[in-house]
Amino acid sequence: MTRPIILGVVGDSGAGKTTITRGLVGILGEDQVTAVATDDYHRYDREQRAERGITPLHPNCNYVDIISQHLRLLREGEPILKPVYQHADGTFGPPVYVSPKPFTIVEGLLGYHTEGMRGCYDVRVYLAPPEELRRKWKIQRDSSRRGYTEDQVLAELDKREPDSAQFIRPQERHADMVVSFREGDGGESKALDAELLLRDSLPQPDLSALVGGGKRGITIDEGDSERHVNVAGAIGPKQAAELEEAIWDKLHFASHLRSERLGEFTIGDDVHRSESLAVVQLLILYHVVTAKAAVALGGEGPRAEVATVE
Amino acid sequence: MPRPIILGVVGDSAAGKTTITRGLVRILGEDGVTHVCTDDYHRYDRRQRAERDITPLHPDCNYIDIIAQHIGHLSRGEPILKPVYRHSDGTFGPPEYVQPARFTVIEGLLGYHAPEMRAAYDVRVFLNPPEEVRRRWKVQRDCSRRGYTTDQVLSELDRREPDSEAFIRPQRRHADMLVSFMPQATAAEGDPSHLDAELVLRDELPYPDLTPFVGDGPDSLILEERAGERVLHIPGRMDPERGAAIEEAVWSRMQFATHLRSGRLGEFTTGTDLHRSESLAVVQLLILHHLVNAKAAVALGGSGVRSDNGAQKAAAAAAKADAT
Repeated sequence: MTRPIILGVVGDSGAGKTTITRGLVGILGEDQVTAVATDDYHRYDREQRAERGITPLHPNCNYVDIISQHLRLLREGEPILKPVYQHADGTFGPPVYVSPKPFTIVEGLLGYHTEGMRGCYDVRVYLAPPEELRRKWKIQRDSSRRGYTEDQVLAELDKREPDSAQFIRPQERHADMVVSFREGDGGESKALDAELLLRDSLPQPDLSALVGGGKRGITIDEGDSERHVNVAGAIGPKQAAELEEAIWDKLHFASHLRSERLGEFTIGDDVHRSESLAVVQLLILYHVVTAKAAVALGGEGPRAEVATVE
Repeated sequence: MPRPIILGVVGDSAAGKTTITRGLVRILGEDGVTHVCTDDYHRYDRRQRAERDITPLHPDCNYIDIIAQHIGHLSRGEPILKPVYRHSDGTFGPPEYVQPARFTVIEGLLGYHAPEMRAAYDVRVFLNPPEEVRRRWKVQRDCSRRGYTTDQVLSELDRREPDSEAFIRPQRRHADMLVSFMPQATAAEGDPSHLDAELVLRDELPYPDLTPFVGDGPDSLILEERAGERVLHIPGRMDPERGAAIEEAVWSRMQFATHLRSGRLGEFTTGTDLHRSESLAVVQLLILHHLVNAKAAVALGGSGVRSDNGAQKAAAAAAKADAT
């Protein structure tokens, strides 16, 4: 087997990592994706963290060296014995044996913290929602699925803020793709805009022909070695379909993966769909699938190509 | 830091692995030795093994690939997150972060099973007591410290015998040093302090010259040269002065390690009683001799003490390239 393709989905707690990942797993197939959460590599359990007054966002609270070692092994196609952190009660369980499938998604807080880790990814995504939106998401999730009260979550967010500023947000600069969902100016629509920063560390697909529709469509702002792309939450279904079609056209060798499932997300137990989320997931899929094709043909992957040209 | 020195202590259940290791740890210091037991890498807990009717001796009952991977990391000086198997109740606990100290002892049932495991050791010891001695040791230990009855232990031994034969004992051929403690033909039953030691010493590692102590008296060593190896017989009833003289000859080959001489060798326990054995002390000292010489060689930029150490030479070259 050729080596697995490694996607990183990094961002602060409640930033939407699992929502992004779930859509990709849905489209690539569970049997094709190994999902690894770096929360499993916490050094201290919940009780120990409380005693020491350390947050899980601090590198010293995580086995950063072991994360890096395991990423390298997975990239080489080697199995790992992965630790298990149980969010339900904040303790560790016995480790589990994980063999990498063709795609590995590494989701977590500190995935780009060291150079050794960063070198392992084929695609690096960072999720950077505005803080007020992230706080809302975190409250929704932690009070519905992790058994906290709203006040507890808010206090925890404040306690974590210094570590977020010092260790989590600075990782943004190492991403190939920075994703910010935000409340847009789409009038009556409550759908979120997706604001994307696409860097030239990976060859990005040319979307310029699809610009149009202004605040209810697609805008692109070209920079020196990066571009800002805004996909309005209120984008019309026709324009969204054209955009997705254009990306799928570049993935013509992977047309068997096409499905309607992109863009789904949950609030509590309700499933919703967002056009802008679908576009973001599709762009990530574009990079992951392109890397897979390049490696299958004996190449090193698109990142190495860019590095060589530079 | 130069790479750690890796010692393997492999043998069947209750063959004496912990006794050998404990003496070395006492001499080298707890801080200087990382001790990894491959029992931690069982794939199934006790209940699952019973359901599947598989013994812990079977390679399929262990994460062999992960053991090999972790030995590789440790031999390069890298930390591991080691799984934890709890003998007290036969279940797994949360893993532990382990950083290799100057010396790393890998102790277990299947340590030489796969070629990629074997390549990482500086010294490979296999413990090979006669089966009747091992059965006695296992009954003693499992009844006193693991809460089994004699009948349970004996029936477990019978159940494991096919796997012992198929997977454990064949690993003998990969050892540098085969160690068999055995009662003398004339010895009274139940005299654990005076077991003879019979060692097969393979030519892959260099040994101190013990010919001055060879002879046919009751205190003498017996040395038999064979192709690629020699057999050394150490009498259990040796006079302590004679034992001390032999130990002196081995220490003279470790003149840079005199600071380790205060440690006690040759101690072992039966139940909670502490005993001392001259032959055990000599065996531990011969192993120590390999370890400290390997350490000295590596500290001076060499690849180790083995004459067949292709893999270690490659690792040393890679480490050098990293450093520059």
